[in-house]
Amino acid sequence: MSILVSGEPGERVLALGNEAIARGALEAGIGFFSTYPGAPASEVGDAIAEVIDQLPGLHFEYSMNEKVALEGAIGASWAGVRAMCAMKHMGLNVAADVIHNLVYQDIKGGLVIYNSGDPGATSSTDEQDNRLFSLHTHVPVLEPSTVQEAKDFTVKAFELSEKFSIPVIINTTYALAHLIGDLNLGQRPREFPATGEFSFDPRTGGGTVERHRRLLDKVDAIKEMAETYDLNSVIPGTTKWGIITGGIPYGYVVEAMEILGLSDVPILKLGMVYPMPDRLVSDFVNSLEAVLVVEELEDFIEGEIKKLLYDSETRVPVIGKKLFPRVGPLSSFLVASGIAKHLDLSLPAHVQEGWERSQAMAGRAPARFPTFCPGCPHRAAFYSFREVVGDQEVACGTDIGCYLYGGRPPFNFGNWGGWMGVGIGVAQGMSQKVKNVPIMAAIGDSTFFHTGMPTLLNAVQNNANVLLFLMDNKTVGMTGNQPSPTATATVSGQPLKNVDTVALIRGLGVTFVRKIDPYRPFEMMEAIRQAMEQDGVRVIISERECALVSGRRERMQSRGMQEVYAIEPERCQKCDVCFVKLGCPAILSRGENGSEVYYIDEARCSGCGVCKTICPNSAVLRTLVNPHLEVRV
Amino acid sequence: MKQYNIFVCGVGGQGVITLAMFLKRAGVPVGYRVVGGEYRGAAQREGPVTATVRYGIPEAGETYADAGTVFAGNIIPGGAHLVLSTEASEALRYPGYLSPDTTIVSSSYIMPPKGTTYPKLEEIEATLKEVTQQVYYVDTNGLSMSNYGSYRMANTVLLGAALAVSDLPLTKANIEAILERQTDLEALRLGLQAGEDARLKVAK
Repeated sequence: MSILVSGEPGERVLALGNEAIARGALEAGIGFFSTYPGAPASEVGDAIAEVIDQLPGLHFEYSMNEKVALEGAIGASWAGVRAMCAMKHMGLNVAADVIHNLVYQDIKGGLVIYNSGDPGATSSTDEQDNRLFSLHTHVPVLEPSTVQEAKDFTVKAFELSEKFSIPVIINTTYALAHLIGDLNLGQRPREFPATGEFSFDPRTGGGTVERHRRLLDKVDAIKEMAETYDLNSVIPGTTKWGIITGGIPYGYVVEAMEILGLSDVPILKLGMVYPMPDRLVSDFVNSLEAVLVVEELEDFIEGEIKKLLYDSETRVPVIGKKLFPRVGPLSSFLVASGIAKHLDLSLPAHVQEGWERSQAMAGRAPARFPTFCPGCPHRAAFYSFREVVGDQEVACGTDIGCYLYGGRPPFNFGNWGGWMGVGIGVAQGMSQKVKNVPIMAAIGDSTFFHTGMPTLLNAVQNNANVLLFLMDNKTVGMTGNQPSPTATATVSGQPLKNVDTVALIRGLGVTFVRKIDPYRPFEMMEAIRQAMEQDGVRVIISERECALVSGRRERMQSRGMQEVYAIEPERCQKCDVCFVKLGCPAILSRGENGSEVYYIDEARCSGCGVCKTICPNSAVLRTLVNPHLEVRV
Repeated sequence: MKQYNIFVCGVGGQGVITLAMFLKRAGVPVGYRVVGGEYRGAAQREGPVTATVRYGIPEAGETYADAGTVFAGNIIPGGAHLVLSTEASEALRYPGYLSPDTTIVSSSYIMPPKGTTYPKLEEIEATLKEVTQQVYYVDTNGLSMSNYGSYRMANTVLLGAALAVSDLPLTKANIEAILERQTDLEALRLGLQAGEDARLKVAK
């Protein structure tokens, strides 16, 4: 049962950090929520979407990109309705134009942006530290440290936003977004503001420079408030040295103290990391002989403190990045190591041994990279691509989505990538200068609507020479199967209005447009061959629903026999077309030393049938299994 | 306040996060302070997935509030009391969490990544035994498939095995209290038996 709609005020539940954020937004009585999926922020929107039918009056949307998500939230705010917008750290880049300009104007209903970052970049292409955005935008940043604070700070954020007429950012990383811990629930409204009223002009206040000055005045007022803000706290202690920290690193500090057997160390915990309370910080620093700043990634807090203290007479050492790394995620271990180094202490033996062991025994597990699921239509499409292209040199750009796994063997589609729209964006420009190899790009349906459309138009308008694969699996796949504008039905079978991609792309002026089902590889190969014989902008739409989504729908709707495939060992020649060139993870080999047999793990086979279609020896057979033997109590 | 740290690992799609969530929920009615992380993102298709479960266990004379320093999701090096792996080789990927006191309970289900040499099960076991002697392999997927026609019950079997061979601070009743399906209750018992068998094999 979702904690967003269940539980009594005061009840303690286990919650995910992102769920706590969503719960906080509901407790604050928002009327508008928008998001573009992106790890580690995706679950905030997903949690609300799951129970939207039980939240009357609340407008929820999966927006096409972060810019329009924020613009929509602004519309609600200017109508006097509280609004929240959620995105991953890189999403703030997409919304950057909006934020930089928004702060020169006022807001009405509280406007809160939830932003979650990814130090270590396990689900991202960079680990940018978004606190630094506020040096530009002057948007206040709140950083909760626990699941409880994730909820409580969200409610406070709306109050702060309205009091100072400024958007507020709640910043976390995956370490809190995907943390599960205790949450004491608050009061939740049963209805949310269905309507607002546009009755004020957000542009009051004179010219641009004058409004810039007003923005800085707002920041000064918030700084003054920060001196006594209950989100900032000093945990008193008796040692001569202390720590300034905030966000999830606070949790690591607490654990590090325990690991090292330290106690009574004064800690200044900043719940609002921008703007900083000057007097609170300088009083804290001046009461000590040394201060360690524990923060992840950049020296944001450290830098602001040093800037503050330079003109004063303080010469208390403030030490941050000398002890704690500037790249990658922090941990209790890294924080303990840094503190131990400063105090010339040793880590406990079992911790030191564990660390040494992690270095000495690294790499013993077989290399395992994410790849396409069994049945993934992208796998079939890239198989067809590589069959046609063979050893020929091509330059291809891939993009952000599951299809980027096509960049690995055996397909190797993807000489570059890295941000939303990069594939076609760079490809079309490169084609103006590179004439000796075919230039291609891949883009998913969601990424196409996020950023790819204007880029494709640019390619047409400027006579680029590029073949674009629109990988339309009718879902935002990588982030957990959020709906895409090309989906034709929900998992439960309800029809959705969807975009006619062929008409759209023809409308942009592309004359070579083919829509092919990648589960029909010979048709796909023929389309690719034809496309490669031509010049100009060519688009092949590889259209087939994500296997995870169709699998779920099948299981929901039918309790009968499931179609899977099997390899007939007497016919199989181990030619490796299915095992290597298609590379389906459900096709395995057993036996050894020359007597290996290829087989299909029927528990993992999705029933796509592509292996049967491409097998040159007719060795793949269709068979039926009944996977539904478990019984519900 | 005692801590008990469980590290759960496996391959994307095997239910690693669900298994860890189950263990988190199981600790609540017993009065433990529960905290844990999930390393999701990129929906981890066929790639390694991990999750942590950390119990802050109030000791005699302590209250729930005393278990407050179990704070963040991460487990420190050498800090895992129990490692659960849903795939035969995945525990090898995280040697830093192990100590001589760690118990490893692993499925023997093999998911060989394409294009890599997969080590023999005996080699994997031997490597893990360089660190700890408490290493148990259970054919969770085979048991699930032969009894229920799918791999769905494999993680429940794994849980039962962990109950049998490790110092996991939960009783059979604690776990049964939050199981929902008849088949889960049966699978738990299958796992307990399989764990016992594995323990006897190791003892020989």
